Amino acid sequence: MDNKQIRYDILKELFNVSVGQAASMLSEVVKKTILLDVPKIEIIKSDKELCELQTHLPAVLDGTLMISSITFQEQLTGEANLIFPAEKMKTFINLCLNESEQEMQYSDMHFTDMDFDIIREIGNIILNAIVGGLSNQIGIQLQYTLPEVQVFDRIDFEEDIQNKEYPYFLMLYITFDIGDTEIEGAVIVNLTLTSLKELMLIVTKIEDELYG
Amino acid sequence: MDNTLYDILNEIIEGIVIVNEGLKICFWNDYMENVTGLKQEDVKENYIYEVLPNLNKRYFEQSIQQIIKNGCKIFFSAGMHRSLVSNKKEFNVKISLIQKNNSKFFLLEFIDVTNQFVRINQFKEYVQELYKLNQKLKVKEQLIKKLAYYDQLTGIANRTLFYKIAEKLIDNANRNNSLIGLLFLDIDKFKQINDVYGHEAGDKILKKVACILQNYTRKSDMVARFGGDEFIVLLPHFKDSKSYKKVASRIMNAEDKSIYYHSREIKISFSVGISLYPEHGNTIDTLILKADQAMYTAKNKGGNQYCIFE
Repeated sequence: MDNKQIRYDILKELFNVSVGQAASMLSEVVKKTILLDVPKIEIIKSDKELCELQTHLPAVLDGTLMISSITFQEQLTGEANLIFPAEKMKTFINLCLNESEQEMQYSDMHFTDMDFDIIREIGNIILNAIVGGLSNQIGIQLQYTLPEVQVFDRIDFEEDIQNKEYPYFLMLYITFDIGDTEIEGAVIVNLTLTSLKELMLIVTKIEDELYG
Repeated sequence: MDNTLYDILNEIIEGIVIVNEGLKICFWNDYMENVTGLKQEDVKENYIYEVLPNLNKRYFEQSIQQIIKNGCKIFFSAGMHRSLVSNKKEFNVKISLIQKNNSKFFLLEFIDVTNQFVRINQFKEYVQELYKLNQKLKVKEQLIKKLAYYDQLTGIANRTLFYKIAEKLIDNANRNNSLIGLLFLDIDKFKQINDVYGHEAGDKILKKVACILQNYTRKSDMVARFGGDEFIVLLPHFKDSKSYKKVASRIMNAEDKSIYYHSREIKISFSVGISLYPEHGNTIDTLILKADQAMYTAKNKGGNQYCIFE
């Protein structure tokens, strides 16, 4: 196994611990078993071609996307975006609200203010866990905002995220299981070079502890 | 904290509660007093869980721990956490950390979204009504379609549907150089049956004939009631004129050509005229006219037989 892969695996495990805590909290809030998993992680340099992100975004993230974003600053500066397909999130919202089958039959793809608030809360729990996990590993405290929730078309989102001045993306592929519904999505953390270096230092430290 | 700040927080049109690290209430603004009916002096120094028992959940405690650990902000949506403050109103809750002189405080903001809930519920009811109305309209649309294209008595195609489909079949036959046969059928002595046994018996006979025609033709053939006691059968995709004679013979020799009316058996017979596309005409009206003439030839020969137009 090469060094890069080992580092990715370490990062993956770190984030899985964080999202596991988020899943347990979400399960308690919605009173349903929720499983969250980060099966894969990638670090993407953003100064390449504009199409670069397209090749990394999971194929399921097509069409209309629902995105919760928080920004954080202090010793690490960046932005974290939780992305899921809007259609699947509508199903998830209906499950959270315990909507009856009949009510779900009438429900369409229009999101109400209440729906946006539910997504804000879910985004808050997951993103706090991920960014909080990151800052705890590095041993620093960050200043965060509450999530902003937006509905984007995939193409507009790719342009929006690449227009921001962060040279690196940390891409976490994430799966969300609630009852019979599985939702695939991603978390994109935009990082400055310093922030990425800080993070990789921690990973290297863990790697050294593991392999000497 | 100085009094000016408290005065400002009392002017804010949202619930503001400040608790210390031990979760005891330090500040409870006027808005909270109005919503809960609890005065600040009564709740001050009390545990937030005692004053707002619906917040006493494990995830709330975990969130507080997370705020202390990470400095993050927490958001609870009214959609997922109903009646957090009162049974009459719904609130979104934001919790942030305030650090002052090495002390930690939590700022709890309660934002009233009751009107949103009311509007959304109204909207949902409206959508439900529209959905139900739409379902009813769909059923009615089907019924109207049926009334427009199908004969009410026999349930087979009426003249309107016949013309619609016949035009298409002729176009197809023209493109594929195939043949079409048209059988024009008239029930023998139908007027007499009506006069002797009444219209109820006549209707029974019409239904029976429709049934025979459907049973003795293929699914791809078209059986229609043309009007009164006249029926038309359109037979596409045949190779030669002999095939039409076979179909006509099968219909003529059907075994169940009778009905029972008040325990009396009434025998049914009919005369059939046949025209062929393209041999006898290129339009559906011409083919009907020729088949009608052939049917009269069959009637003039005594009925209960078929004739091909010559």
